[in-house]
Amino acid sequence: MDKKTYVVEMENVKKSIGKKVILKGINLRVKRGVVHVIAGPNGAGKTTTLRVMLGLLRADEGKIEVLGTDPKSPQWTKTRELIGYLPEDAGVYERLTGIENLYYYAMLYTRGNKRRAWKLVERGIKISGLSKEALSKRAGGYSKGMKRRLLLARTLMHEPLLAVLDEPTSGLDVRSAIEVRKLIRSLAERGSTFIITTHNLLEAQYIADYVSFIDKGKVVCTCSVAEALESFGADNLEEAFVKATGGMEK
Amino acid sequence: MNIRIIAWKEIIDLIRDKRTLVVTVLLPLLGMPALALVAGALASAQVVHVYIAYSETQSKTVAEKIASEVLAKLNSQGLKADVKVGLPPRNLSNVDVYLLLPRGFYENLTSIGRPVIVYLKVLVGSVSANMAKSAIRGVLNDISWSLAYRRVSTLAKLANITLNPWNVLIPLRIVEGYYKPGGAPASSTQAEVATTARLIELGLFFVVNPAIVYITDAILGEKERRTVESLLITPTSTWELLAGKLIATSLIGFVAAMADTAGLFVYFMLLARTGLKITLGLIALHAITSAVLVFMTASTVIPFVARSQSVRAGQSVAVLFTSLAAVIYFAALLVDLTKLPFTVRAILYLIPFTHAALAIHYYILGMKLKVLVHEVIMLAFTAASLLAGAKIFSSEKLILYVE
Repeated sequence: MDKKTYVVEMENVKKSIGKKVILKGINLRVKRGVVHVIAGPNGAGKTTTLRVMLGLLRADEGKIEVLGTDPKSPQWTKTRELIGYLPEDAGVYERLTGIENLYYYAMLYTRGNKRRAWKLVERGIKISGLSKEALSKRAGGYSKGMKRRLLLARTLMHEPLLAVLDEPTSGLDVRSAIEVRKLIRSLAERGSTFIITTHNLLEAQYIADYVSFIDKGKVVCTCSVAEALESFGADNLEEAFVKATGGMEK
Repeated sequence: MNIRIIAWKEIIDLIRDKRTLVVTVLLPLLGMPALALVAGALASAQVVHVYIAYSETQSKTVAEKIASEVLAKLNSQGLKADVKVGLPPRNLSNVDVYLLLPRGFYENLTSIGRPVIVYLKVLVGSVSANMAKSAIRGVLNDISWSLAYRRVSTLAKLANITLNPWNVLIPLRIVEGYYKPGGAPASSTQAEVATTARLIELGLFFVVNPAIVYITDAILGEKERRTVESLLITPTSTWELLAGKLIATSLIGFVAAMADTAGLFVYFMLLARTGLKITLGLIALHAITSAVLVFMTASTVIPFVARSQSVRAGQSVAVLFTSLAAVIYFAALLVDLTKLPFTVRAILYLIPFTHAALAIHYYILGMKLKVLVHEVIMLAFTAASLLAGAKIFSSEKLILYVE
């Protein structure tokens, strides 16, 4: 494996939950410093792929390396300092203020270094785009969009080498979604790698360098956006996805 | 180490949860004494109706004397009473307790050898009637003793014998005393403190409950609030996560436990209308044992909650632990745990809660080394459970099957 080129490598990863087979042999490689979108319909296995990749769920079979570390290894706890993860349905600590939500995670990521933690919080405040007044109030009173922005700030404030975002713009209004996409692009240009899941393929086309189509627990295609459009003779990623997965379901 | 940071967040989260704090700290602290005051106020507000009937006019004076003594006795117990004296009524409506001095009562009362019979009837299912019945029995008992004294005195005078009538009436006198294991004498105050200690052992049940509730919420609450996945991706080990939550919930749990225990004490004191015998040493031991017990309880719950797939499953675990604690501490109130057969004791020793009751029990007996042994056993249970919890912690179970 070329650890300098790829931050994530998954080989023939399988996962069942109960009797249901969710991942049927995922093969995925994500290059360093790119925005890699994992796209597919609901229930295709996108979220499970992320969870297995990050060690939250144990793979039944297959090999996984993230930033050169096996998520099952004891070194994984240390490696997590370099990762930011935003689950699709993540919640905030509602009895903590916005600032305290940021500070809590900043302290966890800096392992209790207050000076460094406050720097991360300041960066988080900028990323969130929320006013200091709003951030000094308890997060329980935030709108859905405000919560999502706070969560995004919490995920990205430590400028992770690998940011894994599950449907990052869900629940955001159009302007906020555009700002988030710009933010992702600017951080990617500074060296962060983004793995983003979405079922919004137009959004994927806008921000992705690379795209993997997942369908029915398998990666059916991984390539750059330009390659996807060219090889499937499609005008956009939606069309490319339909062609890659064998046409529209009847 | 992220333990301190996890604990900081948990404490803020718990302190700001006003409703939980009120329910677990203020409610028992103020609610239980209030309950005792309300119960006392209600008890004194009820009126018990007593009717003392005489069948012959010559018994009227005795009936009136009994009535005035019964009234004084009931009033001294904080009970309002309506005591009437008269001829036998046609029916007993609106009468809770009925005492009849029948025909021949006065004649028998003044005789030397005939029994004096009275009829006492009580309304079924009435608490106040039973209290009045006890008061009347007390008054009648006094009359009986005084009658016996008079009869013995008369007989002694007739027989020309000089004696103390009490030596005839109560020929056997019992001189009671107490001693400690090993035979050293113990005062009656020490015996009263030992009785209080049993109540304290029962009170340990109230120490256990908040700890179980808080730790269950601290772990499964992350799942419920959908914060668990983000948290598990931070560079925090399972051990740090659980230890941080354990420390925070134990601190708050200890405050809640002390409030519960204080409330329970005030409740008993108000109900008993007297102070419970207690020493500073017992208070200190109770505080230490409670702190260790809270820590141990929260810790022993962790391995079970860490494998729970849903909040409901976690709550079932909490109920199971609470029930187990209830069995042990109610048993400690009624049974000498150390006097049970070895096989029963061996089973009880495997239950962590038993050791808190035993620590207090042995303190009362002055066996300080055994107190230390049981406190250390509790700390060992704490460490073992925390390690087991960290070992079997399953992020998969916490993440999947969200309710």
